[in-house]
Amino acid sequence: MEFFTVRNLTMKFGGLVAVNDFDITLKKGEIVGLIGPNGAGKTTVFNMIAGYYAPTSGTIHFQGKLLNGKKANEITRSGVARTFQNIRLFTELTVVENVMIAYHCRLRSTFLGAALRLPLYRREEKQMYEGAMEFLREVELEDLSREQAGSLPYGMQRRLEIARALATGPQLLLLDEPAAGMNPNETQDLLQLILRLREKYRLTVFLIEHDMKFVMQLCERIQVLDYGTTIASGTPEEIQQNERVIEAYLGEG
Amino acid sequence: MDFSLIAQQLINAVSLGSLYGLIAIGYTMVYGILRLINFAHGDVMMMGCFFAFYGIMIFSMPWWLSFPIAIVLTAFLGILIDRGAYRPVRNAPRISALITAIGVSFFLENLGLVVFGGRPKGFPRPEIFGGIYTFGDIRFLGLSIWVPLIALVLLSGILFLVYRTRVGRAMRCISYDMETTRIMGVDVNRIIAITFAAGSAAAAAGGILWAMKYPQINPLMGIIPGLKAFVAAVLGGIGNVVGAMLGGLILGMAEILLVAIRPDLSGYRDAIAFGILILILLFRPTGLMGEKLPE
Repeated sequence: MEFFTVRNLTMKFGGLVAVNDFDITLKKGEIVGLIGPNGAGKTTVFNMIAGYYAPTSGTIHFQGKLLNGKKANEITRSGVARTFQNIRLFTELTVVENVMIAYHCRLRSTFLGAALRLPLYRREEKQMYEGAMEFLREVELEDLSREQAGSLPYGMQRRLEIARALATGPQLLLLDEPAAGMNPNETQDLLQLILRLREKYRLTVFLIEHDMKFVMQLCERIQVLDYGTTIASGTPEEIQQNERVIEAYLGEG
Repeated sequence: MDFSLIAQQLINAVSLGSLYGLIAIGYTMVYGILRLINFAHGDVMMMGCFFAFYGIMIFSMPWWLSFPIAIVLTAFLGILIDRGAYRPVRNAPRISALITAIGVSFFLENLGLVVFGGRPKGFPRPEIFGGIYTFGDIRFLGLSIWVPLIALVLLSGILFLVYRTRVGRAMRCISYDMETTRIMGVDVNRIIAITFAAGSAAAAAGGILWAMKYPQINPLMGIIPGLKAFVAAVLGGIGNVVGAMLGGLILGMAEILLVAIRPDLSGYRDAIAFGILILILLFRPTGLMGEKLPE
């Protein structure tokens, strides 16, 4: 059984074909990059996988189960988590609360349980808090757990988004431009962080990124989109020498 | 005006104000989470009254059984309304949801007219709430003390729910960004259902107290209290639970004060609420405790 397979995924908005016949297969534990010029349809691919858009056609299989047609929260529960290109934290909540909300889907006790079976509820609440702190430690934000999420600097907000995605207990992690807006030092730290998290949580990582140095260093395979169509896929070395890729990037500007 | 008269009016004002506040809580919770003015809310309150009424009159239940059952039934009615009417238009423009809410309101009122009949019915007032107490010159109905107490208990319960529980955390997240909350694995529809249940339960409690205070019920009884509670919610800052209660109290004070100071103007009593609404919308549209408008 394939770990994650996308076949003939197509998304049309009216007459515009945003993504055309997109195919990809991920093996467990891989780090794969999705690159391409602005507007190539990369985020649209993520939005379809995460259940934010319903694809016009095509299939998404995750561990043998069909994902398209499921609701976003069900997809998250089945083990696919994501971060956003434009950071979407709950800025008015504290840092630790942001992670705790993502922990919901791991817990068993219901609303009635909260009222009636207090011991289980309390135990879970404690477990939730401690679990959330664990993920914050992972991204080195545990000292800021009581701060308002919106008050953190940009790079930290990106790390918090990763912690929050981890808290949903994913096997497949989708990162949408995780290095955007980071300086070279932060980018290097992020690279190490992603590698470390992959080992520790046995993650498969699928990421969109514009920072080519970062992508080439981190990813084992890369797929290139241009105008919604895959124009190349292969190892970083192959991609760097692919003429269509060079043309797509240079042609853009 | 002497002291006892002031004390007397104060008791009346707090009692009336907490009723508005209780009903306003439901408006404000639903608005906070869905950005929807649930215009059917006053009618949900009316249904709560009829459930309680029939519990006592047809099923001969004692009040302490009938009232809680009515509150629970009304909570389920709230869930049903969300499921049947609002969920299908969840992703439609807000104006569609608003019109749907007005439709639900008319539906409940007319359903009430058909099923319960239009003739007003006398609502029983259990002895425990009906006693008249006298302190010196101050005379008041036992109910006038019960209403603020019950309102306080329910308000605390709802604040606990919103700020101290997991469900409440999810509610606050949804009010901030529903899509992202869903992607965090939260079953958003379930949380919204709980919000409707809590808001409707508070409305039923408010309605039953209202029916004991003005012991006549009819299918259109929810309109005016509903509109006034809406004003209270806007006054307090819609989306803010404490604000809703505060708005209710201020509105109650204003009404009672007008009647106390200028009895000849008491016919304009209902105009106060809408006067306040106009002023608030003109000068402080986010209400007393409202947050800044999101961009």
